[in-house]
Amino acid sequence: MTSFWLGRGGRALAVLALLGVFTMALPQLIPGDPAIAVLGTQATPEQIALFHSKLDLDQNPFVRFGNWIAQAVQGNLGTSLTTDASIADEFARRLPVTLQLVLASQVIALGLAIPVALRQAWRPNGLMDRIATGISFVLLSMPGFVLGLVLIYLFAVRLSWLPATGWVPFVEDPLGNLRTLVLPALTLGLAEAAIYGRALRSDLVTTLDQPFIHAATSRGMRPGKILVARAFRPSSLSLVTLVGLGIASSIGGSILVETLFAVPGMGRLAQGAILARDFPVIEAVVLVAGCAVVLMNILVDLSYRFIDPRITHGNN
Amino acid sequence: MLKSLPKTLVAVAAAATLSLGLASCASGSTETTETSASSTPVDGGNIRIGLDREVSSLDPAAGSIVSQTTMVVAYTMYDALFTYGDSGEIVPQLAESAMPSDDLKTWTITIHPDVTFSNGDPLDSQAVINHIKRLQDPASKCACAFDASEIGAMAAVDSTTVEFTLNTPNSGFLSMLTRNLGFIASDTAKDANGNPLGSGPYVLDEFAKGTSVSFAKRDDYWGEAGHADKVTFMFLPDTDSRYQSLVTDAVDLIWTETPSQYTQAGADGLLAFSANSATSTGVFNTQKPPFDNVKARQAVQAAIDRDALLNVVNSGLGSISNGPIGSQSQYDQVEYPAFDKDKAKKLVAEVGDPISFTYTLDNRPQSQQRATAIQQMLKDVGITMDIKPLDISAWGQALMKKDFDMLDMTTSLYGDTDGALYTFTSTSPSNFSGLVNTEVDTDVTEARATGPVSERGELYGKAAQVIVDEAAIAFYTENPAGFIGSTAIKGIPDLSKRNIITVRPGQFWLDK
Repeated sequence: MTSFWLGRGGRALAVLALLGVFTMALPQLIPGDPAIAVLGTQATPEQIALFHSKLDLDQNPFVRFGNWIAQAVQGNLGTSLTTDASIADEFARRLPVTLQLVLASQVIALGLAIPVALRQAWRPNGLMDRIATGISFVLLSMPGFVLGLVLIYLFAVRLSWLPATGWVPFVEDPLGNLRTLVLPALTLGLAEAAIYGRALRSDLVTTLDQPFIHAATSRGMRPGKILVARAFRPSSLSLVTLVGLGIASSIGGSILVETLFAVPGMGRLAQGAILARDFPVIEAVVLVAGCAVVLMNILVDLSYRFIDPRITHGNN
Repeated sequence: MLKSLPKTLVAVAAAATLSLGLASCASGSTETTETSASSTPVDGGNIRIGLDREVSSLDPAAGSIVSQTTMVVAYTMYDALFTYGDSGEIVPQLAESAMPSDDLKTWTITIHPDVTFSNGDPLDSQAVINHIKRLQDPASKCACAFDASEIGAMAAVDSTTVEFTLNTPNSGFLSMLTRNLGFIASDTAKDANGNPLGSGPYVLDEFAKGTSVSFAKRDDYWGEAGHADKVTFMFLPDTDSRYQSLVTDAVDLIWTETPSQYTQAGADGLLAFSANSATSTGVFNTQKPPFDNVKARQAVQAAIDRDALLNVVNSGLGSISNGPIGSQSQYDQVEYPAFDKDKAKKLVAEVGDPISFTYTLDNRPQSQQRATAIQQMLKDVGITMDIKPLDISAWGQALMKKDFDMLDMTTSLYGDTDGALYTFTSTSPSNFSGLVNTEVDTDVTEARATGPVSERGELYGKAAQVIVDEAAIAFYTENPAGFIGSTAIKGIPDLSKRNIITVRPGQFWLDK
């Protein structure tokens, strides 16, 4: 286990260091001068020069990353070029919103995918399986913003059940928060549910053909128990991997969904920063999202040991 | 209205612009424009306005609240020294009067007495000077630095009078005081969260960054108090869901520049309030091939069917643009070459070498639709055009560095004719086409030193005609921009004659 942690930790640090240096090179790599984006097209050369100096654009990416790390470990992620606001404070406002959205969307996705996939796998090619497969293909082929617009039309415009846009913080009004959370979470969750469902169904069908399942069936075990207690756990490796990747990739924010529903999360922050060439914010978002991906991958690897004890890491 | 003005100031005084200019150029209003001003004001309630972008800072120096879209926020918590009247003329708001010297280099501006910031501090002449000095400082990062640098010196004559000494004569000086420089923020105090303080009819209530900003009515406002108890701006960046928020009554008013929404509004029982205040153009780079050849530029100019662009991109709303003097300007417009394929083909033949170039544009859907249509029009006359979409930041850099052959640009710049024509002078940092023409330089410089509107208009007309004849920029369309609101919102003025949309939420009320 120690070697597992040392190995994975070392690789994780190497990945993050590489990502950090690459991120710090972005100001040189991406076309578009942040000075013009921030100061406007009538900025004077003196203003532009002052701006470049403040951004340390003359330093190489390794030095910039070193400086960034030195500040980050003290809790200072820098200052936004466009607002002069502390990026750490901005994250403190935005990250909980995105995390809540990610959590809700995963609950919806898993809540739909697991029971439906179990039912599909028990009778492959049956009526339920064919209907669920058709629906999942529709969801998979539909871009997120189209699904979001359809949901807005249905639940906000036609039924007037939910607000089309906006966000109410949980601490202000828990019920209002739920109302503003449902549509964006559903938009993200339905698409994820289709992916999770397809993967889980496929693995379950394979598992249900294993001898130990046939043995359980012949002993008279109930179908529900066979599915949940015997087949689900060994069939969930792909699902866990996808959930891990889904959560990790969402920590950086879902730009489309957050923009469509005006959710003030990390995606909106990243989008605004990219358009404004607000590099300190871009760098911080990329690195935090990178950390999330690395961490989730480690957790997924760890979870394999609990799902299937035959899987070990390191020398064992 | 301005008072004690010498005859030369008739140019800049508000009333004069009405009588001399607008009658002759009234082609620009859209069919969608309405007014909701005709009922008895009702006090109270919360007016919710959906904006198309996030407001990141309430400091006028930061620029986040001084675009045409977001100025409605600035007008909630600030007063502007000068603003725009119903017919697009410049009128005083925080200022009471303005008097220029005969040479238009010295401007004496008097502000209303007894104006206070929201914390009770007086907004006097020194506060005005301090505000402008702060924005002149490069550390403030204000995009208004170039405008501010025109002000050589400021002096407080008394507590309500400021004397501005400009580096060069400028008859259009007052228009510089309608945005960043004109929204006076306190330089001595901020609120508990570090937000600036203004003197407007509302004071900041809550700034939920990324979500909304709300303001509460001031009881001690020096002018006419606002009607609503509260005004809330919600940041709704997606065009479609913002419109649906209005349909579902989640907001009372939204900003939009999407033509199809203006046409849809009537069917949904909504009201549209718009002006043709955004002009779409194609900027030629006159300093490099192929457009260093005036015939190549004129060929493109003649090959573009502006009426077709209006129909394809704007759903027929707005009007065609006829040059740097906009349809709502106080000055007469100039002759613009008609769409003429044969003339374009002839010019292409005269150029000799095949004309091939790259068209740089931002990634907005309307820009892409326009580029695609123009590409087809130019193909019909034998000109090859490649399309290069960029994000807004890279587009801005291409513009500033003149790293383009021809560049698509939609701007509210042409709402201020004085400012717009100055950008065509050879020394202006905003001379994006790179046109160098002594006639334009002379006429514009002389016009800026000329008081009477008629004389100035004549000089501007001459300069504008040269700009059009030289095809420094291809002018396409004037596009609708503005608000769509529910029938419950009242007090919004008729915007159809506006060059730039400036509305004050304090004048709105809800009649539910």
